[in-house]
Amino acid sequence: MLEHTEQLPDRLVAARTGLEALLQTRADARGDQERASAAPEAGFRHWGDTPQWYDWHKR
Amino acid sequence: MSVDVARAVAGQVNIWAADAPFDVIWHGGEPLSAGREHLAALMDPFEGVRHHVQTNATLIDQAWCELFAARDVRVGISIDGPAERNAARVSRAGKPAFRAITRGIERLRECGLEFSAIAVVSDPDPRGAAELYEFFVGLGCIVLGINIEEQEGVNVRRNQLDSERVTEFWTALTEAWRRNPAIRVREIERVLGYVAAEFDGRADEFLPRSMDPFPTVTHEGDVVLLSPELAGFADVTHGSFAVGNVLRTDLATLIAEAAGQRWVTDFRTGVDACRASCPYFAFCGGAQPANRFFERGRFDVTRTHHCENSRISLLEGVVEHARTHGAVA
Repeated sequence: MLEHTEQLPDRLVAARTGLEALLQTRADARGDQERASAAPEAGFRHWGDTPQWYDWHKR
Repeated sequence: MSVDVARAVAGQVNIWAADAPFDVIWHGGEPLSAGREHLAALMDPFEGVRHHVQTNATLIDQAWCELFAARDVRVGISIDGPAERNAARVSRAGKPAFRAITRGIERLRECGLEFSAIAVVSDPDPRGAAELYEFFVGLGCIVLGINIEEQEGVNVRRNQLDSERVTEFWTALTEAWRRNPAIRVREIERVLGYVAAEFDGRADEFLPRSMDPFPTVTHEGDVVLLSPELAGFADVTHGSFAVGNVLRTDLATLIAEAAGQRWVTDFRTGVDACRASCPYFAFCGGAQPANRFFERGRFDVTRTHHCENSRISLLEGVVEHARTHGAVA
């Protein structure tokens, strides 16, 4: 688990080879699934325009 | 729910749905217990939306399948895995519901209807992760969502778990998925979505641009925002978490006015605190309101057990798999 001073991107970069392999697995699997299915994504939230309650991107 | 409540909601939702894809999820309790005719009557006022039901499947028969197909309803099944993992899912008579659930799923499959599944995992045992995953592959769902049991609403059981064990569970689940990626796992998708954004230099775009108010409308028309689990609850500081009722005020007005409610303001303070203190914020976006409230009794606090079980340990588990396996599955 990261300490506050550690950076999440650094953790990802350290495992980049394996993560890229997982992304490729996903891409390969998605290609098959998306041709066969228009299934919903369980629990995924969709929304149109909403009030700007909170800007997650503010810095 | 009365048709009047559905009409009041649809009056606003139809306007939104004309501009962007909009999903209406019939959830909470057992939506199919309303009966086919009544649920259809509740859906009738809506135009241009995509309907979902989240159901335990026990009532699904040929007639329900015909309704789902005719209205293009997306079906989500609540099932926790093989029979021994479903002890908490019982009929009103207190009998195990597993056989009735799987019968309903079989009807869906016979009718060629796709479905997703959501499983509550009370004991995230790494040794059982692969079996759990393969059960859902065999079940035939398209997408699997894993909810590590949460302490919220009427469920007061503490969800403080051994983070190392939970991380190992996610690692084992990732390994099982990678060996046989026949279905999507919502949580692994979320991690990989963030990873891809980070590697592509788009990490700032991973979280949505604005907060999703995610309104929940109760059967009486009361509206609760952000966390459906807060519906029906109140506390001495904030009073009821309902922001109003759609039979008296339109949904757009309720959402706009709710931004100034004290508990929402407290929650926004809490999100700021998460941003300032948690190295996982870019992935998580801040602890969910219901988890803050039911675990800690406040909205302006930060890390919850839900954060640890279903965000931090999740990400760490997937990364651990990647770190130890590299390019080899």
